[in-house]
Amino acid sequence: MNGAIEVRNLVKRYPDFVLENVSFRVPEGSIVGFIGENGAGKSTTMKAILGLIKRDDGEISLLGEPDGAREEALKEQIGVVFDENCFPEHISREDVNRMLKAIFKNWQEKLFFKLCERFGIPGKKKIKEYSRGMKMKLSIAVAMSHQARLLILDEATSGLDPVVRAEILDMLREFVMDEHHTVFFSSHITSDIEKIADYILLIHKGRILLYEDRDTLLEQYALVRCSDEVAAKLDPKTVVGVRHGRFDTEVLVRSREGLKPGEHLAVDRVSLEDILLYTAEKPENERCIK
Amino acid sequence: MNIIISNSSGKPIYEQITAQLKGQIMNGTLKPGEALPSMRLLAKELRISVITTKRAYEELEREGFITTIVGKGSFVKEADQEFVREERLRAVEGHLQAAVDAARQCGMDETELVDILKLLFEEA
Amino acid sequence: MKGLILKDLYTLRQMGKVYLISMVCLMAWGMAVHNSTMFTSLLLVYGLMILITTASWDEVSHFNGYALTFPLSPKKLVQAKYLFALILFAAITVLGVLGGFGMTAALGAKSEIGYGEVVVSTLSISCIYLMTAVVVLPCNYKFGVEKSRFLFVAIYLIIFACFALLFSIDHMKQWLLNLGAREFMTGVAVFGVLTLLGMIFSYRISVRIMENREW
Repeated sequence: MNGAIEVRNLVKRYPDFVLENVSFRVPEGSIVGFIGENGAGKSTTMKAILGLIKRDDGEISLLGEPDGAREEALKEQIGVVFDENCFPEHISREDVNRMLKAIFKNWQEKLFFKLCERFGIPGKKKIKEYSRGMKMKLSIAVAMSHQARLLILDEATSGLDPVVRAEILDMLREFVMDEHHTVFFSSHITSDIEKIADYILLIHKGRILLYEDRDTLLEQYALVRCSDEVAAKLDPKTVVGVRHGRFDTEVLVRSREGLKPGEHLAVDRVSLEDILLYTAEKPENERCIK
Repeated sequence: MNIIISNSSGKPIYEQITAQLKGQIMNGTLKPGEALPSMRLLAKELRISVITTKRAYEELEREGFITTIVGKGSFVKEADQEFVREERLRAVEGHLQAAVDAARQCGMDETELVDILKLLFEEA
Repeated sequence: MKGLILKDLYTLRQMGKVYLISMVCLMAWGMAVHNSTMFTSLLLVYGLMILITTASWDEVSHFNGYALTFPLSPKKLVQAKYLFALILFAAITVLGVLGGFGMTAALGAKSEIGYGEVVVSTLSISCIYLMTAVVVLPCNYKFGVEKSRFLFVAIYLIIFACFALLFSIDHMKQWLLNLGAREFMTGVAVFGVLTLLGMIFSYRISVRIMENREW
């Protein structure tokens, strides 16, 4: 099975931020959720994958093609959604259709309008009259209407209400019903990623901290609350991060094996948000990933 | 066919699926030769990961309940009388083991436990 | 590329309605003062404004970065923009000539401008439009639309100042006013060639800027 996206040792240097040795593989047919706090490097990584920025080092291979090959042709098969509408706002969905018909070889007009209907995107109205959710759904309809095999979404659900977000997640699930379709989806709304991803990729300060399948992450990792003394006795190999509170100590562990919950030891399911918070090193919380 | 998942039951989701499908195969709801929903369809409808459904199906195949044919899908295996009985025996044994453990914990002895068992059988 | 030009044509559609009305008003004015040059000159302004507005829209909606996720290259984006600039050039020229002819015909003997003059003045205006476009487009790509506006105004002020200076020198003024039709035509032809060269040069610079840009 080919990787839909393969990144090897990606490096990108900015004056105040460095993306370093980012490597991962998005398997074909899967949904990979890309999480990290704002500024962690998600967008930079995605732009590098799309060729919108130049890399300082590393290789990126998309849809089985070697690095740098057939860039424009590949884009026919890649649908991209950003976190805002990028069309001039005085045009309508019919205008968008006419434009893209001339740009994509495999533009599917019927499907596009069908998706627009399904999403409730009004006809003949200018984009500036759309609600925020509609604008986003338009971008998604566009991405899904040219026979793309890979969908890349960069913070595409930010600022949308839960109803719209659920609709979008359903669309993505439907998209991967075809096992040759892949989704790579970045978001800081961890609950969305938690619901839909097969694999979770976590980035922090320009480095990849974690790449696990979602079930392992959520079923085996645990959030332990106990006293300082008990915390100290935990196997350091499974400890991912620690927070010392005033009345308790919270420990994020990789495996709940051997832990017996009781009066002095609470063992809870971990959420992606917990994992994300543990990576944001904030001195006040003293939560940190070791 | 129904599959009901709980996110908070503590039991891994793939195990819940395996258990429920096993149950349905055992009690005849799912007939031998019947096609199961594709892994991807199940994942989409239940809103879970394909990795989970795949794991559940692989487990069921390993235990001999279903068979997966690439390109066609997964099907309930022909019921082997011996096999079904084995499985049922295993389930009962598991429950009884739990009862024995609980009895030991509170200091009950064998006779008391057997008495309770007899009572329950009569009630049913 | 056709798709990209369509996008700019939609902006033209948007702005064109207002401009069309004002052009009719200008023609009326031109008839009133027996002179069509005002009409032609404003076509220049409109052409430039439409061109710059399309660039502005691209910037504001972050369209270019998005477009590069389509099967398009930075070169194609630039090509589409320059083609659109040429489309506007053709539109200005045609409208200028037709409008000028119309007014001259309607005015008959009263017109200050003859048919020949209409053609020459329209062509000069169109070339000025193109020359400006040729400078403004790479600036838009490099510095962004807002900063380029300043540049554009500054350039015009400088050119205007130069002409004013030239005219203030009596000697020059006499010489310029005494230029015959033939010298004038040569001047226009040279200007035309320079514009063409400018276009090619500017296009190459724009492509280079866009290819090196990060989104």
